[in-house]
Amino acid sequence: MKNLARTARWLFTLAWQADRVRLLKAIVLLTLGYLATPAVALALGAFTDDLLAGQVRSTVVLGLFIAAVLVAELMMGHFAHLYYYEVGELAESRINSELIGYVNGTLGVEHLDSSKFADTVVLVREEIQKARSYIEALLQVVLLGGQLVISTAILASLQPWLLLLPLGALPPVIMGKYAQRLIDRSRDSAAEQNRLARHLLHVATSSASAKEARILGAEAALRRRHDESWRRATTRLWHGQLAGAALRALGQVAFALAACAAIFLVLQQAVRGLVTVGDVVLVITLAVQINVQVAAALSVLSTLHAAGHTLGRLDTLRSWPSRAARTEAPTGHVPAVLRHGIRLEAVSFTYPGSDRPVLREVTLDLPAGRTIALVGENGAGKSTLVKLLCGLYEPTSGRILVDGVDLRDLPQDEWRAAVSTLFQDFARFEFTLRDNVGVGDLARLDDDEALTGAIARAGAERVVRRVPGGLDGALGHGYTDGAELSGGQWQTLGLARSALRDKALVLVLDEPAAALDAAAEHAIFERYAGSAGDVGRHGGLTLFVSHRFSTVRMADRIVVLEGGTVAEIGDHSELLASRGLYADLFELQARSYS
Amino acid sequence: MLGLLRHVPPGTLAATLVLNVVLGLLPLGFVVAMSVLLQGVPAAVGGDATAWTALLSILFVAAAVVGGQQLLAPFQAAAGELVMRHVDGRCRVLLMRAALVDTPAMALDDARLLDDVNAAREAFDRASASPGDAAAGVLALVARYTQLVGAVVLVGVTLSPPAAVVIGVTALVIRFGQRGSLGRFGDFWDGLAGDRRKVTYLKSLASGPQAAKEIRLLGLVGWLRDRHRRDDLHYLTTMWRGRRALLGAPFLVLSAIGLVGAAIVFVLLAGRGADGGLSLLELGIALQAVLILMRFGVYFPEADVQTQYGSLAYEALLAFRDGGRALRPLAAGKSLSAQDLPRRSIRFEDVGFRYRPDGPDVLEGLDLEVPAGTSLAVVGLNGAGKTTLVKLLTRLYDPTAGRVSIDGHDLRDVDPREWHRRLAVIFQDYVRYELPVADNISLGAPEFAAGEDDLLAVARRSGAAEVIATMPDGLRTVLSSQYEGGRDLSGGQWQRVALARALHAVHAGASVMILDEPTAQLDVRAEVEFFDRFLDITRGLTTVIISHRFSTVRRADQIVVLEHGRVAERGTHDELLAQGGRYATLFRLQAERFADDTAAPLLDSAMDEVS
Repeated sequence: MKNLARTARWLFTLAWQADRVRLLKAIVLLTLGYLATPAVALALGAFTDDLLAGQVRSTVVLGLFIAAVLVAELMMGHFAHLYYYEVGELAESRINSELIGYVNGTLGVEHLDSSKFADTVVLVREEIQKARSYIEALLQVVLLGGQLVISTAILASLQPWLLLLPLGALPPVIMGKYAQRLIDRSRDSAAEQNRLARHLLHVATSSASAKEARILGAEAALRRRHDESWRRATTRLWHGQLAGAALRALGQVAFALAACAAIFLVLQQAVRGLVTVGDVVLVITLAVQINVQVAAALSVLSTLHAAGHTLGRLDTLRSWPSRAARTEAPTGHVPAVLRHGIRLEAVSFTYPGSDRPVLREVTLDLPAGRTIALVGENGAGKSTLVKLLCGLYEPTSGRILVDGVDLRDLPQDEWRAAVSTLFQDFARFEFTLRDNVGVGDLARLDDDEALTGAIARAGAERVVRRVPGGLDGALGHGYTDGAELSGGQWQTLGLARSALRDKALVLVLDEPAAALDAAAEHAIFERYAGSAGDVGRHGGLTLFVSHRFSTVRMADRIVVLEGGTVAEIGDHSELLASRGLYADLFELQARSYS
Repeated sequence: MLGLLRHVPPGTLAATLVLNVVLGLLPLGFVVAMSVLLQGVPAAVGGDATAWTALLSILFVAAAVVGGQQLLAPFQAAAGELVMRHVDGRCRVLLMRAALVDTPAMALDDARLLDDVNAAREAFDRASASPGDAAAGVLALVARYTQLVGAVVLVGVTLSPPAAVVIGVTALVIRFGQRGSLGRFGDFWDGLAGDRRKVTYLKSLASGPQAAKEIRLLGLVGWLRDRHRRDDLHYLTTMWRGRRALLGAPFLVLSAIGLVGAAIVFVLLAGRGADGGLSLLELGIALQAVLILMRFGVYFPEADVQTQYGSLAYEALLAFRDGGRALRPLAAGKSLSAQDLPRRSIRFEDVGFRYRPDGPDVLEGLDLEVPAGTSLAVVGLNGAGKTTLVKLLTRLYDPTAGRVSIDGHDLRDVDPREWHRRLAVIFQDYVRYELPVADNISLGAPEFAAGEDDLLAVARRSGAAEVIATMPDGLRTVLSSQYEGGRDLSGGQWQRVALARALHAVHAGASVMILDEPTAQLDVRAEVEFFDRFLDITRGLTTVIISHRFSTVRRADQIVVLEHGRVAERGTHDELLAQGGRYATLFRLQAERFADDTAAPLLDSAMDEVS
């Protein structure tokens, strides 16, 4: 109950803040509609009495009134929904903005590694699409309650025992619950057969699998299995539906008896001359509707209950611990030119909620102006090290020094502006080509010269020529129908995006071509390692991450990670000569293809 | 839509119809019973015992009617579900047959027809209303309209026929006016799909994890949030304008019509009552019948969405089937027996192929010969026509020029079913049936009666026997953990099962093995294992293997390099290297880079790189 009150308050505040004028209009219209139902019953009763009494004028007036009220009953809800849907849609938009902040408005990305956080975001995003129904439920629960009270009060004024009639509406509700449980159980027990039928339908109607099934002549065999599982599922569902309907019928009959008892009581009053024939009409009209009202109120309550869950999930997101901005002002500044390089000192990192460190006591020098390759098998800690370097994570212990200054003492936004990255799972922004490259430096989004320069440095002119509309042509199909690019072309644009940051101190290429083939990766590497890119000019360093040992031979320095620690450091020939892990893995990969 | 009802067994259909008619009539029975009750009240006032007893017996009848209505109403949904299952069961089979039998294979490669298939399939997956829902909805409408007709008749009898016509027409105008407006709004809504897609994309990008790193490092959160807000508001204001226009004013008109209709009837009622021409019985009936009719013009949750969208799904199904049938069918040749073919060779003779008459040539002047019992490897860049070659060889498509011949017979003259029985295929994306292992293997030759020993024998040859040995129910274990007692397999394990399926086809009489990128989904270790079995598996068979991995190709008796739909080079691995052509260039280019390592890790991608 307390939760319900809190949910109601939340929804009301949300709706009020979204648009109070439209909310008020909706409330007025909806109230008129809900008052119409008892009004129809009262007016019908009076109409009957006046007609029997032969009062023509008042009968006609009442008749016209009934006509108007019946139309109000039928239509007001519709007109109200035009307003409160808009309120709900505005509220949904606001919550979505709020969500963006929780997911991507924080400094670190630690929370995104939690599956609970990710699941909660997905659920809220889905559920908040029902914001309209939530607000509708809030308005309805109040109005239905009011309607029920008015109806009961009218009934009780004629015969006090009729105060109990709403109780008669409980058996259908209770039985309905049990019936739903039976039906759900039959759905569960049919789920496996349904799943198989669905799978076989997909096999038969998907291009690739249908091709095989056709050649095998498997149509009859598939259909037989499909029919069998479909039939079995149908039998189970049908039994569940029958049992559920029987239970529901029991509950409904119980209410029918209660309603008839109510009519019996009012008839008794009528023959004693205590109430009029019109009052009997009134009772008949109201009594048979009480169960509809009770059922509607309860179903609306369950919608509010669901809204309460959404609120709970929002609470979870709101109170999720995130790395706070440092309270003390950063003491240093990011240098314009890197003189010595970056040093990792005994850096360890453990993911939140895990007790297994991914990096252990890593100490490593990344000298300014050089190309450094970071290799290792999957799970060796390469990507984690990169994220630490970018400031997306903070070391659990140890520190990262930029020309001797602790990364934690540098202003985060300055540092991020000094890092240029192309990740293995780089983001594809399916907007225009301009947006895609320009987000590398938002300030220069409209600077065509800078963009074409970056595109040229990344060797992406061919991609630009391929896209209809060039720089302002749309890409992908996510946002709008744009040019379809291959993985390699997307990636070339990703490189152009990194290249737009030509003042970067660190260029990170994290398995930039893992989705492509080894040859393409090699080409990228040659392009960047050969000249140390643009970043070398102001002392920047290039960090190239790969799991392909054959790609990185030309790096100034190769760092081999194993199990979260640095296993070997050296250049290609040194590492081959030392016959360690690098040499082993290099030759293993080579052998498997011969 | 009524045609859907023929898929319901007659008994079920009749029972459901009767149920819905009765459900439509019972509320009218209640109206009449209650009015008879009212009629008796004045006589009983003052304690007349006989009149009171009569009143009670009428109440008893009324209670029986109400009780009957309440008792039967829940069974409407149950019967609807049964109807839905019957109709969907039949329509699903229609769709399966359409995809596998009624249409040529190219139907599922046609983007437009594929949209139809997806629309129908989504409905069957319960993502939207299915044809079965539509059928159940139509039957539920019977109850509603029975009630409408009955109520109109009651008004006509008690008040007057003109009054009945007025109120009946009013009810229908409101009902159809409302359906029409909602339909128009539905179209308008569909038309905004583009704007909605923008908002959805921005929402999932900005509040999802996929771009989290870039958003932080590039400082994009504000930019994305503003864009989302702007696009969302733009979409909403457009949508609101349309919704108010389509659902506002028209409903005011409908309200006015309702008001006029109801007012006329109530004034008529008042007039007749004033004349004393209306008994209490007639008044009671007329009043309640009018109420029923005025409340008719609402949304019917048990029928409206179901009939509208369910019939769309059914139309999509038929559009796919009929559109597929209209495509170029396979040639009907002489239906020669394929028994023992090929004894000498399979030949592609000057074969050309294009997917659409106005499309580009995928294959052009292609000549190939595979002597029976030997192996041919086909390599080539993406788009060189490798997959199309397989489609012609398996006769999923006919060539648009030239011919494929088996021992000199045009493949078009060979009975396609029999030819398919001569084939054992493993595609890159072979089917992973969520069925027991035994079925996964025996589906290689579904009509061949195989015992468990046969299946285990091929499983041993393919290496699947080791997998089966670890299964709780052996051959009967379902290959998906989504089923009770089922197990998931790794890529390598699936590969062995797929191989067993192909070997089962060989056991059942197939002699042509076609492998289309069979190891594309495997890691290096599993791939090596697969090709260790290669020579054993293909011994004595005519084999065609499509691959872009050189390690695979080297073992074939003959290699052809496809380029732009024709054969650029052919020969054995050594011959091709000696020729110094395309194959050799690519091979050497890659080999040189690794010359000092005596290894060629990049060979697999050499062909792709050149593109």
